[in-house]
Amino acid sequence: MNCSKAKKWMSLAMDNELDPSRRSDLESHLADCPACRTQNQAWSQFGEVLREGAGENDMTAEAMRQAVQRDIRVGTGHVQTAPVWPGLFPRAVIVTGCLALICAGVFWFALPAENMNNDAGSGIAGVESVETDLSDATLVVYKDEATDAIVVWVFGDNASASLNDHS
Amino acid sequence: MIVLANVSSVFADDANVSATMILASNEDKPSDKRLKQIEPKLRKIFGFKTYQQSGSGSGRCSIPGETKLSLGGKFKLMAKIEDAGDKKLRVHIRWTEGKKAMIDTTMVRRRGDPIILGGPMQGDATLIVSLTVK
Repeated sequence: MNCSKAKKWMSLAMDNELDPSRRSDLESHLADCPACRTQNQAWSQFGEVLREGAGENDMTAEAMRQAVQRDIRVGTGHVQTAPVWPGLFPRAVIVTGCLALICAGVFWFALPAENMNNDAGSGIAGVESVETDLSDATLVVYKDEATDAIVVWVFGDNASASLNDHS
Repeated sequence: MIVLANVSSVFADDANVSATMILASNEDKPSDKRLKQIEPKLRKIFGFKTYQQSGSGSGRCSIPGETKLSLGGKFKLMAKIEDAGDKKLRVHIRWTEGKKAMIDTTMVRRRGDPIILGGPMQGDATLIVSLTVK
């Protein structure tokens, strides 16, 4: 099996759409090919991040924005929480607060695109943004628990570098 | 391509950034002896058979501040560092080949925590940068 076919089968395997015999062939290839093994590990961990985030799909836009900001604060160690007791506030204050939140959400989404970081929030604690100029590339971020290393990996057919004049 | 960088503190408000750029492949040849310290870690993470150092650099900067490392050829690494509180540093890393950013990332790490960037292919080898901020 070549690496190109292995990549296609890795994708099918992650979706549980690879039949057992092909899965066995793929596992044999992964055992012999560190590059594909690394890619498979990264994709699997990326898939876990996506699955963990899937439960947030039913959040409102403002709730999602706050969740992202909270994640960033957690990542930077700045998180501070204080108890809130809605029963102590007059209803008018609560309604006003809700309206303010809605307005803030509308304002946030009206910001120019350059003010928004499309890659912010990798899902890995402490990683605030990841970007690349390489075209058609996919970025994967994961934490290697064994070494405590944060790994930022760029995949893609065009993710190649030139070392021709590299001394 | 993998880029490894180390940032080590000499003074409380200083950071020293060291980065090593490595070519990882499955060729049947011994790894670069200069990578003896980090090869076991790389092998544990990636599983490639052999690792060859293709460039390295280090630099010191105050906090907040930035330093630029040349990793050989067109490859450079810029590290902008600021205090993130709780004894952590916010590190903005931009690994470039010419004007093209291979990877641009910002993360919060403790001094000494390893950071590894990688993925771009050079022939049959993969480029890796290993980086630590201390």
